[in-house]
Amino acid sequence: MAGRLKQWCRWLVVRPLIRGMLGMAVAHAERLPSAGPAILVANHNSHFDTLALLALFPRRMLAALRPVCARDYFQASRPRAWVARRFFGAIPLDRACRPGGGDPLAACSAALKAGEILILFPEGTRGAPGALGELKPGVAHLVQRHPEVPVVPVMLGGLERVLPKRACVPLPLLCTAEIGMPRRWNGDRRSFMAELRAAMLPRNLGSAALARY
Amino acid sequence: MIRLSLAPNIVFVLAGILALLTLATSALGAAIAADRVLGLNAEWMRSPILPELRRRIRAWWIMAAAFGASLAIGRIASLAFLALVSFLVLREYLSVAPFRPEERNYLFAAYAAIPLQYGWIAAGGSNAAAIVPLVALAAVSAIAAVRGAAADFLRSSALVLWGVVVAIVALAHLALLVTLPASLANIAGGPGLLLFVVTVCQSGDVAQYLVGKSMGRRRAVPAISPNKTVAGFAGGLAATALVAAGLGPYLTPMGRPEALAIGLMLGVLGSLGGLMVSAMKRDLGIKDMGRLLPGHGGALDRVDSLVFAAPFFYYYIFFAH
Repeated sequence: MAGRLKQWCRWLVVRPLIRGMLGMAVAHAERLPSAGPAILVANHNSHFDTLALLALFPRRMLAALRPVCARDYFQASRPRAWVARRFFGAIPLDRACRPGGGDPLAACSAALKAGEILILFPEGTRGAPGALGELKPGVAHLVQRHPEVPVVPVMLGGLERVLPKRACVPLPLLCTAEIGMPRRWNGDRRSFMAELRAAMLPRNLGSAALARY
Repeated sequence: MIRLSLAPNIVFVLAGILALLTLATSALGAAIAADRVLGLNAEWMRSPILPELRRRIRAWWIMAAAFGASLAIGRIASLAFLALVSFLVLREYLSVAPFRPEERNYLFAAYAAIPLQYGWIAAGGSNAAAIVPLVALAAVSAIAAVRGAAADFLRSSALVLWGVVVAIVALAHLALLVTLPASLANIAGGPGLLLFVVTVCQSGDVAQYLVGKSMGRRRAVPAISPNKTVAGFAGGLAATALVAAGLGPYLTPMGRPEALAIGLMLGVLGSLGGLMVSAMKRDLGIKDMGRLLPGHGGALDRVDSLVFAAPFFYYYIFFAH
C-alpha cells in the first residue's frame, strides 16, 4: 500500500469509525506529545486500546505512531500479523527474554531515535478487566537509554467492555481517555515504575454501579 | 439536489427558533461585553454558571440545526435522526448500566431493537409499540436459555427492557408522529406534530432550568433530585402551556384552548420523565452523567422530558382527532 493511501485508511478506521463508535471523551488532550520522540503508556484490557490511543492523534501524526506488540501473540496468525505489522506499523517485541537473543529493545530504541512515538502497554498483556496488573520494567530500561524522551501515561476507561479478551464483536459504548502528566527519566528504575503505575490506574465506568447490585 | 418540502408554518416556527437562539447568543455576548467595557465585574461573570450557559447555548445550536435539517430533508431523514438519538441515549445508558461482563450479549439485543423499531416504522408498520419490547424480552430469554443462567434473570432483563423502552420505544413515538397521515395531522402534517411536541417539551426544560436557577429555593423531590425546585416546576409548566397555546393552532389540528390544556399535560409528563431519569441515576449511584463521563453525558438528560410526553401526544392525536 502506498504510504499516503495507508495514512488515509488508518485515519478512516481510527477517527470516524472508532471515535464515532466509542464517543471518546478525552481529558487533558493538551498533554499529548505534538511531535516525537515520545512513549505513550496505557492500561491494557482490549485490542481496542491501541485503536483508541491512535484515535487521540491528528491524521498527520499517525505515520509516526508505532504500537509495540507481543511477537508471540501477533505472529501466531497471518491476518493478525498483517494487520499489526503492515496496517498499524507495529513493532514486535519478545515478551520472554531469550538468552543470547540480542537486545530485545533494539527496534524500540531505533524508532525513538527516528523521532517516532511508541505506544506501549507495560502490563505486557490484556489483564483482568478494569484492573491494572503488574508493570514490566521494559519502559524504564527504554527511558534510561533515552532520558530525553517523555513518557506520557494514559488512563483508558470503558474499553474492557467494548471488546474484552476472547470476544470478537465490539460493542459501541462510551469510553474515556485521561492523559496524565508527561514523565521524564528520574534516574531510578524502581521508583520510575512506581510513579508510572500510580499515574495509570484506570477509571471504571460501569463497575462502581455494578458493585452495588 | 434535495427538494426541501416543508409546510410554511414549520418554516416560520423554525425561523422563530433560529431567532431565539440568535437572541440568546447575542444577549449573552452583549452582557459579557457590557461587563468588560463598563467594568461592572458582576459576580455571576465569574461563577461557573457562565461557561455552563455558553455550553448549553452552543449545544442548542447544534441540536436545533440537526433537527431542523432532518425535518427539511424529509421523512427518512427525520427517522434517521431520531434513530441516531435513540442510539446515543441507549449507548449512554448501557455505558453505565450494571451489566456483568458475562451478560454482554444482552447489550447486543438492546442495540438490535433500534433497527427493528425504526425499520418497522419506516416500512409503514402501524402503531405497534408493544412489539419491540416483547421481541427484546424474547431475545433476552433466548440468551438466558443459551447461557443456562437463571440467576439474576429479572435484574438483567429489567436492565435491557428499561433501555429498550426508554431509549427506543418511547422516543420512536416521535417517529410515529412524522408518519401520521395528513388527515390526522392537519395543516402542517406529521413533521409539524413532531416539531410541536419537541419544541413544547424542550422549552419546558429550558424554563425549568432558568427559573429553578434564578429563583428556585424549595426543593421539589430532594430524595430523587437536588436540582429540581418547586419554582422550576411551575416555570416549566407555564412555559409548556404558553408555547403550546402559541404554536398549537399553527402546527397541530388543535385549537388554542385545547393546545393550552395539552401543553400543561406535556409539562407534567415532561417533569415526570425528568424525575424518572433522576431516579435511575440515583439508583446507579451517578449524580450526573457529565462527571462520570467527562465531556459526555447529556443525551439522556436532553430527551428525558419526551419519554412520557411523546407517546402521550401521539396517542392523543391518534385517538382524539
